[in-house]
Amino acid sequence: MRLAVAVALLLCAAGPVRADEPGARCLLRVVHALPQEGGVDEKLAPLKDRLTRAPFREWKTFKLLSTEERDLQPSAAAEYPLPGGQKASLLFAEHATSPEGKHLVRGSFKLEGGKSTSRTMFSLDEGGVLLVAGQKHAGGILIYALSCKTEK
Amino acid sequence: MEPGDPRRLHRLHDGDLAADERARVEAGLSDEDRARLAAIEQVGAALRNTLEAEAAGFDIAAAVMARLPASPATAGVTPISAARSWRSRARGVLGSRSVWLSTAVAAAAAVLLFALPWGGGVAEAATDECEIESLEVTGASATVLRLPATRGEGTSTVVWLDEEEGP
Repeated sequence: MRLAVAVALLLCAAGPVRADEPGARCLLRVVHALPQEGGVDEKLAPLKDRLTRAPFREWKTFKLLSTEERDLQPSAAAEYPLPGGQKASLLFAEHATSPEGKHLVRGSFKLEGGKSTSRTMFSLDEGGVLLVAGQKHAGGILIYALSCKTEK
Repeated sequence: MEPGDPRRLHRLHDGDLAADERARVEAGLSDEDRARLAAIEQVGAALRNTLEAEAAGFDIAAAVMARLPASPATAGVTPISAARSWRSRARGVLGSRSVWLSTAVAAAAAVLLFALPWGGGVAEAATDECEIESLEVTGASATVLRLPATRGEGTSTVVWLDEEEGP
């Protein structure tokens, strides 16, 4: 009973989204990493520094499989198609702003449909990148790189 | 030990290696590998203790109620002080929210958080900041790696999924 009340309160608290709340544009890159020598896809230049250091040192080839961008309003979710019939979903929970004007995006990133399922709740600086890696795929691994920009 | 192979370190720590492989891996441990092992053990012990303490008095209704003040809709734009407070609560391996969710999925997930200097340099320092509030995983073990950037300009965050063997 207490749980039902608590959930109901949580849902009520969610309420309607105010029109002045900024949305976010979130970009998901899916990268296939392989152990054979091959280098970093030039389309992955913005991520090259991150991909060529630990914990990715044992992977020598990085191919960009897909790039998907979605516009999201607070409390809204979007789905991103993934290789092998998997699915990624992103919930943009809210936006925060620092006195210095630095923007933060809070949300959750869920991967499902494959051998493993994960949900990561995060707070990400605008311009930052969240990397989720390690799912096995076609002789290598998949690396998901998520970054968001707010609309303010 | 192959460089940059945290999975084998985890398997060594967890006792998952066969005797001969264990001996071979142990013989090849570098000082950095030993430091990583020590960190894994320390954080694992802290996490186990906290999960046990949480499980002893866990009240899911109270946990949900406790989340209400931080609900996205109670304030569309969170002041940075609140956000930082939220971040500080979530920071590290013993954040109450992390434990709450981890406890809820403890039977299905193995969650290990740690921060280690993985060494090596990068040509250009990453400057992003990303805090992991919680992580739920099934079918894999997960490690959150907070990688210190060079030149002191911030960190990179990687959620590493180590999928279980088998079909």
